[in-house]
Amino acid sequence: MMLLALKRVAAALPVLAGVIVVTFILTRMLPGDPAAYFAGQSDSFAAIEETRRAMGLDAPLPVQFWRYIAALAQGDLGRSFSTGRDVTTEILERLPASLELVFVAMLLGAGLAIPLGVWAAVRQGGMVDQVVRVITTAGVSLPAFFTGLMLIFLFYWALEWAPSPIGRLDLFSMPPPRVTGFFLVDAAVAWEWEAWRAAAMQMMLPAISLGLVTLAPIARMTRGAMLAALGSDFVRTARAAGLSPQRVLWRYAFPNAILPVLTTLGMVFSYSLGGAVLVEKVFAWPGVGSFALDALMQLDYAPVQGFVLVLGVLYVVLNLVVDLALLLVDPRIRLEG
Amino acid sequence: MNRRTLLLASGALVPIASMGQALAQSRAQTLLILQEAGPNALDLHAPGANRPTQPLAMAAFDRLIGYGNRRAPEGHDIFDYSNLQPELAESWEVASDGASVVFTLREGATFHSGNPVTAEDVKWSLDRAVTLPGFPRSQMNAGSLLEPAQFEVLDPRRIRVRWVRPDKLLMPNLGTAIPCIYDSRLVRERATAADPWGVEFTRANAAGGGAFRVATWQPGQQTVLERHPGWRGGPVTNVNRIIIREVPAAATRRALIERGDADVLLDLPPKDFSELIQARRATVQPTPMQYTWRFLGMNTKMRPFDDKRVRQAVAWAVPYDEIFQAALFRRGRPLWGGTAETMDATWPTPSPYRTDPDRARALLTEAGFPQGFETTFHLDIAQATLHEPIGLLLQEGLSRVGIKVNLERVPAGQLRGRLAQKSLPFFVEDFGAWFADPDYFFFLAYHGQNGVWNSTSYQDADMTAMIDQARTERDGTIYASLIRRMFSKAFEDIPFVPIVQPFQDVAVRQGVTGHRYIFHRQLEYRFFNKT
Repeated sequence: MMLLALKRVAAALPVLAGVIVVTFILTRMLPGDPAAYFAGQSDSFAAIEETRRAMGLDAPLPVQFWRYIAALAQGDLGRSFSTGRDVTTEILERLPASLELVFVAMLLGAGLAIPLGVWAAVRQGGMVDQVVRVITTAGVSLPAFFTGLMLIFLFYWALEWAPSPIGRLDLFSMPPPRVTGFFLVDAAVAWEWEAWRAAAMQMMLPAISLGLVTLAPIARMTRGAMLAALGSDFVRTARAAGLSPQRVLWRYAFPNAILPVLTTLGMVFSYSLGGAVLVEKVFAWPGVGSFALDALMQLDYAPVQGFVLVLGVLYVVLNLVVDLALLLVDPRIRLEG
Repeated sequence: MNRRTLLLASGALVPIASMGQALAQSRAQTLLILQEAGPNALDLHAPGANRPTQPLAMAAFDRLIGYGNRRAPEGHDIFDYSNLQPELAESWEVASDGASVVFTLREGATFHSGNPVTAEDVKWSLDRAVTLPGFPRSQMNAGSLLEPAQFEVLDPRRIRVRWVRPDKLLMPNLGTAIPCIYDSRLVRERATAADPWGVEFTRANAAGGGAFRVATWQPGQQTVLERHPGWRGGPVTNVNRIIIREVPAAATRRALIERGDADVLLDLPPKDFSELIQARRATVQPTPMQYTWRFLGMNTKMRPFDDKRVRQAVAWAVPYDEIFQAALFRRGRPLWGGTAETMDATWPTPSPYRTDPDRARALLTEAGFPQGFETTFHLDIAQATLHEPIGLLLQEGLSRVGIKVNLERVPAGQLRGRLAQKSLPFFVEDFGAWFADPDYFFFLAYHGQNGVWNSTSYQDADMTAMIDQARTERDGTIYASLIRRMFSKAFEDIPFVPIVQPFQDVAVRQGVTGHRYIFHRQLEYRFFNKT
């Protein structure tokens, strides 16, 4: 297994190298002039040229690329002009915010979707199945930012149950001492339950908005996989052997159905990390997605490159984790590195 | 819960309860401001510093002078740069020959670090502003402050500033955000040979002595300001802490002000302000943005807009009223349908155009486009809620005279660059100057030097000559008649079609006063009061 992991990582290296080159070229191919944008209110072309020099964009592209690679080799992702700070600092601060949101959303989504999917498969064509179909259709067709705005309107504006939707903590809570950057984890570790409660309250609405989006594909995949499993020969055999329906369902059908669901979970996770941008915007969540989108809109190259690279690394790791999980769940699987 | 956790919990509750009281007290003295984006540096001299660094610099730093105010009908103040007020300088005296001015610093003024403010700090700061490339130098040059030799320390509390040419903007320019006074002793300790002005340090450290010091700065999240107890540069209010929270979604910002959880905000789409006013859920204080217009630009170097008659035809075909009602929700002052009487020598002034498709068609036929033509209109994605309806209404309005308009949505970074390269044929933009003098505005937008803000590449020898003359003209009557002639010329050649002078709408919670409209068209943080 260790060997497999190493092989996988080695195989990913050329991909990451490709990602580095392609994002560098793509950002430079965007039309427009970042120096003109960041020169701001300057009223002369000389000022724009001076800004270009300060940003290091006056050098020829190969030189710029070389500087980028040389810095990257030292773990330096460059500086973001839109926030004025190092991209590494920004990503280290913002990635946990995004990951925490996506984790909680996935927990909610999958926690609801898998039982629903199983239930819908057992009662195929019945009431439950119809209800699940409506929920999943809604989950797919309602954009997360719209759900987010509706939730704000209902629970914050009208009912006054939820706290102000302005980020990870309300105004008067202090963030817990940083260990992982996940507020819920850090607060628990530090035994600061007041901060934990505050962070959880802020988390609720954005996590539900994002969770609804993840719910649909997981529920559908669970239902489909369960239907296939329930219709298979071994389940028929198990039933014929007189095993109880519960035992047939959970001991035989479900473990066989979980494989595609796990793969879907991995896909939905990586998709949500990028797709959380609009939820982050609506809830002023200081995540990595909104950071990268803002940078892209402002032609701020370094954060875009850094974001794509970090996401590339995450995907590689995530795929590895999913594959290893599959290996654990199903001993029949042999993965070749 | 067992006994041990119970004890722990009750032990933990005591400090939380007393903290809660302290928080309630501080909440009353804390102002919560919501902004779409926050400062990306604590020093607006840093390369790439964004617009939100300007209001921050006004609060965290002092300048030699500030501006007086006049009262708007809605109860807030509007700055008046013809009325200069003491800030760090308690007085100043212009020499009898009018070639220099001596400022005397306030006694006992200190920086946030505790260092005393001296004339050396002032000299170092002004030297820095005229030396650092980009926005600092170009803004200083706008007031004819060109080189360090113009600033001379007389003694620890007095500094002389010399004119190198007559310039009525030199004094007012000293009150803008650029000539902030830095704690030079502190910054010089951190400066390096490669970075003699310590920009790397000041980018993340506001080394000033303004009304508020920066307590915490989390770019992309929030900036917290706390009152500098030693500040004497102006009126002190009961707000001791300002939290500037970044909330990117306009709908979320609006929900917060409606619920009364936020104290102040600006930058909502016009539709939201018009609804806020109707619903009376917050006080909205509008100010027509001074020296600012929202216009349609046509590139005079690109076909078919290189023909003056085509540009006039477009100006006669624009559905002004529809745009004003349905896209701008009346949040501005109309800049069309002017007459000879409305055209005075102040900026901006209404153009003589109004919606008249027959005249537009006649002009198009005369220019050789009886069937109209096809063009692409560019709008800013970041301002889609405003620009998109303008584009759609324009599309519909111009189709009545046979002009087919395609819409292209462009990200902000790209738009700015393409405007500076003058590669857009047809677009909508806002432009405003920090000072009202029409010659200054015309110099930026209409001068033959074809500067950055002349996004239509308009060049005309007569216009350039008039602008050059107006910049140095000291006789008021001649100046006013020059300006009127420049307006007529601008409207005849019509590279820019004025639509409105937009309002700066600011929503404040009940009980919050002290909003002051200021040149940078963002919030003046320093003078809010809570009751």
